[in-house]
Amino acid sequence: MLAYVRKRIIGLIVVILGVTAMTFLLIRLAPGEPAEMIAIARYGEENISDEMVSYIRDKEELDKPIFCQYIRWLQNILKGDLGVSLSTGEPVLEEILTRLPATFKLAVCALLLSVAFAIPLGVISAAHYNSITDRLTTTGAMLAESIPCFWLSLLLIILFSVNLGWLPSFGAGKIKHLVLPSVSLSVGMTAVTTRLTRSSMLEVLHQDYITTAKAKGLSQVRIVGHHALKNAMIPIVTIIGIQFSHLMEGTVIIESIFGWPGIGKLLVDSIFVRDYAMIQGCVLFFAVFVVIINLIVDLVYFLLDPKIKMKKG
Amino acid sequence: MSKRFFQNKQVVYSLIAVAIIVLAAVFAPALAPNDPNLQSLDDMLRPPCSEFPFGTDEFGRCIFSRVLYGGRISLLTGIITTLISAVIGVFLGLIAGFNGGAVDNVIMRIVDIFLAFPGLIMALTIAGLLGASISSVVAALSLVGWMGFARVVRAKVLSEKEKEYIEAARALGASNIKIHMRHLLPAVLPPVIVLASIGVGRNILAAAGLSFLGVGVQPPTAEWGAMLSSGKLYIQSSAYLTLFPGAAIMISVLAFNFLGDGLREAMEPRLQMRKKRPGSFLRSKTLCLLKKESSVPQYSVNHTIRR
Repeated sequence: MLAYVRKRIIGLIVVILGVTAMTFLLIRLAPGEPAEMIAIARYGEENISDEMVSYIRDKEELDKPIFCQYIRWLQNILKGDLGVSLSTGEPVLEEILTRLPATFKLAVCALLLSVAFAIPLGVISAAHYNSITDRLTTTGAMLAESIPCFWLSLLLIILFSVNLGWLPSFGAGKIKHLVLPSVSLSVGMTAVTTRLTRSSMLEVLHQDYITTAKAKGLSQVRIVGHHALKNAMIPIVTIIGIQFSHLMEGTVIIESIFGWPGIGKLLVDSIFVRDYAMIQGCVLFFAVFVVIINLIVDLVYFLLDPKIKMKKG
Repeated sequence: MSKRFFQNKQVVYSLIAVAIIVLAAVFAPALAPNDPNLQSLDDMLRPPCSEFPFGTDEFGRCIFSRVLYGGRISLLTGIITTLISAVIGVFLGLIAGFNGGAVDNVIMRIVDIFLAFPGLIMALTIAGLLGASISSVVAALSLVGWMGFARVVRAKVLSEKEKEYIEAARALGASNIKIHMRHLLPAVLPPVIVLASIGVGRNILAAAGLSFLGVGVQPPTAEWGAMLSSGKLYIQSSAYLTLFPGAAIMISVLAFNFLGDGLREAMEPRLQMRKKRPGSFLRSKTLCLLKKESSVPQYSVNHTIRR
């Protein structure tokens, strides 16, 4: 188990290095003179002079080769320093940490919401295979999966903010600010998880030990809820883990729409002002976050399925 | 193979839907009632009426015409992006599967790195850094979309290359290139087609998302995501600005998703025969879903890392 975790962590580092190195290369490929962009972002287009641009270039060491910049950045990360935002001058790490709770809150809410709906829906759908409930659920899931989350959030804003006036469409702070963003974020995920819960349950319900349980005279509720669900959970946990990656993609869009002060919005804003240090920081954050979640999901396997433990040791 | 595809109802219906969408985009100039870029201050923000079936936007442009023309860009982006990712993925998958060993290891490690990171975030960063335009969207999405193809092709090649006909071809003195082109490529094509169909839907969605965020197609070009983005500003007064482009995205994505799903079902005849038994039917469904979501990649990561 420990050896396995160690190997996974090595893999994790490889992924993080790969992703950040790629971003660095891209920054090199990006059109436009970075120093000039920063000057424009900081002081406005009319106010900049050549001296200012060259001063910024020196100060941010933007004239060094890209490889040196990357190595220096890596060394700094190990010291806990992600550099300063090129546009505001604030430390990147600090900014990301300030924004982290917001993104985390949104992601966890969406995740809980989707699990709370998806697992019961999937289980009911499977228990009543081919019934009207089942068909409605499957069709609904297919529709929900194809709905663009940015369109869905606009529709929700039209309904709940503009027409009914129940919920705010912008900002953060109160619980009611959280409702629309997390609902918009959770719908696609709910659809996928529902479909998987259903198929996973159906597969389990078809196995011999379920027949045995039925023969023993156990109630349907106990069979489905206790015996079947426990075994059906393994693929469900996997899919929830994989969805975390999609969840992060969603936060980027949803946060921008609802003005939610998280890291997704930070990334989008940074891209527009070409704040390279901040873009790097956000990309690093997402890489670390998703990879760690995947690691956790894999570890949950151990708890859920003893067979895997024996195989992988 | 194609006969089996057309016997599947879902494939036929979704093909019809896709055909309608494609035709609407191709014949946009003939179908559009108005010039999509014609601005008219007199017709600003008019709700749907007979002259403008979907209403007009903040510049008085006909939304219906813009949705039709927008379909050209969205479909083209989706299809070109998928083609590029498919070519990259098939190429790398063939190399990895056929050669095995270190080459395979390196390629699959790259696949793992790409898979471990949320694709849309990478695409957003790439497109944003390359500068907002349709070509950077295509480049960005192609770069993050090829892994599924590589994986599927590699797996198929691994099982295929052990078969006797490949051995026979080699015994007859066929070159590696010939084996690839004549035997392996046709063998991997069916799963690639399924993946591509779903890929087109996903790329249409992603491209619209990028344009919506502002790193894709720029105004005044008519594009669904960009239309939604500008319509968002008028959401208080003119909700119809956001209704129609969004519905267009959803319908197209749905059509391609259904097509991919149907093709997959048609491709596995065993799956159809056993359809009445829920267990086995869904077992393959589960696997497909897992494959589609490129899940369990962590498994292969584990194994390779251990080696």
